[in-house]
Amino acid sequence: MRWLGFFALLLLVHCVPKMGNPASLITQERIIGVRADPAEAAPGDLVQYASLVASPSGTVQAQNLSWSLCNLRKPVAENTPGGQACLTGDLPQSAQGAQVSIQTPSSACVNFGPLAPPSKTGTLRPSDPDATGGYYQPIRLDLPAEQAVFRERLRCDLAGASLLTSQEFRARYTANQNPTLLPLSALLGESPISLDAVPAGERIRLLVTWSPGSAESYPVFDSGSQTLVDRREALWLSWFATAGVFDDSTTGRQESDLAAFTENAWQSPAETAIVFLWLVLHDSRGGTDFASYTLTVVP
Amino acid sequence: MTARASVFALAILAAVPETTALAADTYETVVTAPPTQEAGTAGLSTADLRQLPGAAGDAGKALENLPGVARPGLAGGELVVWGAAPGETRVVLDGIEIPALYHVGGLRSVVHSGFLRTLTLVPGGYGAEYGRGLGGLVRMASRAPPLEPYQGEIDADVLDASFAAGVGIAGGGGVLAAGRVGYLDSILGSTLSSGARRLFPLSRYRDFQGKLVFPLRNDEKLEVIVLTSSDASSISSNTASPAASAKQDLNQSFSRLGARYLRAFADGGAASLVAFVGWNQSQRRQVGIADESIASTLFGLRGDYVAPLSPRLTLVLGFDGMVELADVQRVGSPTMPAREGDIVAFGQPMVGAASADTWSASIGNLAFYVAPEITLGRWRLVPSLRLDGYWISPSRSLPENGVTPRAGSSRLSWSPAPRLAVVHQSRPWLRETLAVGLYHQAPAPSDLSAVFGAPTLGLAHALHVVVGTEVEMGQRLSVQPTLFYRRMWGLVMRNPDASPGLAHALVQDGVGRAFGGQILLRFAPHPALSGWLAYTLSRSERRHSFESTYRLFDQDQTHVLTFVGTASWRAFVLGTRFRLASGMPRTSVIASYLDATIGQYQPIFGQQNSIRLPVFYALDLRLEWHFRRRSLDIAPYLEVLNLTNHANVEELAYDEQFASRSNITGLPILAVAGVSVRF
Repeated sequence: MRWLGFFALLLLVHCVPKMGNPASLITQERIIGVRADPAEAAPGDLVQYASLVASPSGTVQAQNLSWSLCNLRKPVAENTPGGQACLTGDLPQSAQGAQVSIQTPSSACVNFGPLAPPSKTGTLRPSDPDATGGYYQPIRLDLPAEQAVFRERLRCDLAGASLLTSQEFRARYTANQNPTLLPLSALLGESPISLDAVPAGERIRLLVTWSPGSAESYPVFDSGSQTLVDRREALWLSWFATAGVFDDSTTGRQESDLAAFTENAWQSPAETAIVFLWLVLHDSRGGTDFASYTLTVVP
Repeated sequence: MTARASVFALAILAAVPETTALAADTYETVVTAPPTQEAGTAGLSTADLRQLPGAAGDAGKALENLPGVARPGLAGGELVVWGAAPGETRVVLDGIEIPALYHVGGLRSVVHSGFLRTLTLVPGGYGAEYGRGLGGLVRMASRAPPLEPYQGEIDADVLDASFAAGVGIAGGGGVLAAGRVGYLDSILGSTLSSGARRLFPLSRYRDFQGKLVFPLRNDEKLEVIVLTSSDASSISSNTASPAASAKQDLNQSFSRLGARYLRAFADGGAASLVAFVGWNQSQRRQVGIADESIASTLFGLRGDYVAPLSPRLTLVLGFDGMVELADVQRVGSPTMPAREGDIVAFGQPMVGAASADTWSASIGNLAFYVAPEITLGRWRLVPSLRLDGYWISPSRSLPENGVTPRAGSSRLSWSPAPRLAVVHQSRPWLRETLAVGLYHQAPAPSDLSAVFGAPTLGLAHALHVVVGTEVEMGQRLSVQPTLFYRRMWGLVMRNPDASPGLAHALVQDGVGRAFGGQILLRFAPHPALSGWLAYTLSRSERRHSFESTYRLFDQDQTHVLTFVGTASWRAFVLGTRFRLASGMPRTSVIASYLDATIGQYQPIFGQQNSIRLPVFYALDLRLEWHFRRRSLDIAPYLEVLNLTNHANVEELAYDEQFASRSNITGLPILAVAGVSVRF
């Protein structure tokens, strides 16, 4: 019977404290998105990177944004994508600006891929692929009060597979492409509204679609069964605004969900305002697209 | 069970408890804490347990109130004894090793109290008859069939339903059976939010214990024992974002089928032989992150012979063997699930991986031991030696690579484990004890992966030193201060190297130490008033061998204070429990960064385990009223938990950007009414 108390606790912990601002609310200058083109690069490829930096006064062309390739491997013990050393270490700057070009290191598949680094003491452990079978070259982005890590998906050879499986993989695998956002729609109830005249204090439905080919299919090597498994990308959208409240900071579709749109509800500010809104679309292989909008909230 | 007066006594008596089990005992469970007093004053009867708020009549849960045991977390189930990791403490029932004392979540122990005669916690320094663990020992003994034709109990509450029953047969034979079925998830499952389910798994658990006793000749009997337990829980957090959704399934079970032969000789000697076969199964699945399943078959055989050679010398000879044949499959992140030493923040986005491995591992241990008990006046000495042979054989030494044939390895090593126990009875009311010993533990089969672990792992080792005294002040008061020190080396830890060797995701360079003291004050100033005060001051630390400084063990608790008291008046019994414990260590989050690839923030950590959860304290009360109707013993009761309504912090929570921190608090003040019926 003591555990009746446990029930109460279970109900209580439902009220995990809400604290701080939601990630979707932009109250200061923040890096909120990075897009690489191509979305998946081979070692030595030149990649164009574009940043999306949001601020309460709109999109910022952050010319002081520093980009640094990190060539420090992440210890197996660390459960973060970039590794603490990449974040706290002194890294030589690779480029600066809001949009930059950086050449993918030729050793990327050795440092962060399936190829074991050279060693005099024996064979070293290669990096672990993520759940989509991908390997990534980390790049650190620094603003004076903001830090982010973007991981460029690498195109490396398949390791640990038989020759036949490797050949099949090469034949079937296509490099990831960035997803493509289509224009944002706003609705009040079921009625479309203009982004230039969003009613104040209302619950607005925001609808975002993406191009049909955004959720790509791709094979993943299952090292357990030594076979290729077909998967489909999941897509999720991060929502940001300078005012108002979203129901969810992120919405999206699972791998099995074929729908090519996502929806969120946004409580518009109670008073007249100009609101900046950003959308950042991610696919599960590291592809990104983003868009920004200016909403005029009217009485 | 007779005297368990000290660590020394435990070392001796552990070899001969079955002699007392030959006689039918009373229908009660005794929980003892070493260094212990004489039976009758040191234990807790089942009736006492019922009067203890928080234990809910569960002997295993009552164990958490003994000194040396860290307060478990809210969704606990892990037994941390004197700073040892849960997997380092062995749990044994009638000589049969079982994998855990508690069901998942720690709501209940896996053995019904009605099946048990004694339950003994030995935090360290135990004798040579047991091994395979670096930490403590939980040793349970089943009770004998009742003298009456039948006896039993049926309990049901909102958590589970259980029964325990025994049928006695002339000559000392009989049948015992007990079991439990949990249904908490059925009651609450549909009412809980996804957030609550993510925080606290609701386990669907069940267990069964059975024992057949066949009396043979005089002072000789054969027992057949069956033990089973299963747990299933599921945690899910369905969010609008595929990146933030999480689902975790956990299924685990074990079963044991054993036989025990017991014989007492006319000269005071005794012999026992235990053989069992068992199966462990475990599957942990975090969708998209990690999936691990382990299926093990175990064979155990142990026997001992106690020979009283002279009034001053008793010799205990025995052997203890167990073989585990495990098949393991694992897919996903090498860092999930987290293990001791991993730095994680609650709610931190998890990183999946497509790594995979399928392997098998055979781990065998055969030990021979000898433990002479020498009595020299006021001194009793037990210089014992256990010779441990370990056989470790993983099926794969390197990760699978195309069509390359798999190659395993096999190694055999012999490791002596000398132990010494000394008791000095300096006064009739004063006893000093000392126990020193060396302990070994084989790696877990799940750590022997060429992808997720290291097939080359060998034995971890520990040195225990325990010094204590026991002051008896009549039958009414006793004080037992104890100092302990445990040093561990060869502990398995994550490889901290950014470029580890192939098949070396884990390394065996961990070093640990745990030290401190505890005091147990038992009082019974009046037959109607009894209880104890237990306080433990300890520190448990770990480090890699190349590091110069220790860090705190993940489940270290500096202070643990427990006061338990019961008072009876006529048909009423008032029980109270006060607990105070240091919060467990946590690693502070000092900054965060955006993982722009997936659009989620990740924490940047400060010094490992540099902060703690706030101090926990809670006062619980229980009022019980007993009366009989026909042949039923009926006891309605009222419990008030956390009487002071203190908001105890159970975990730290962070916002999405890891910019602000808050507390997840536990149980508020709560009044609970119930009734217990026995026949």
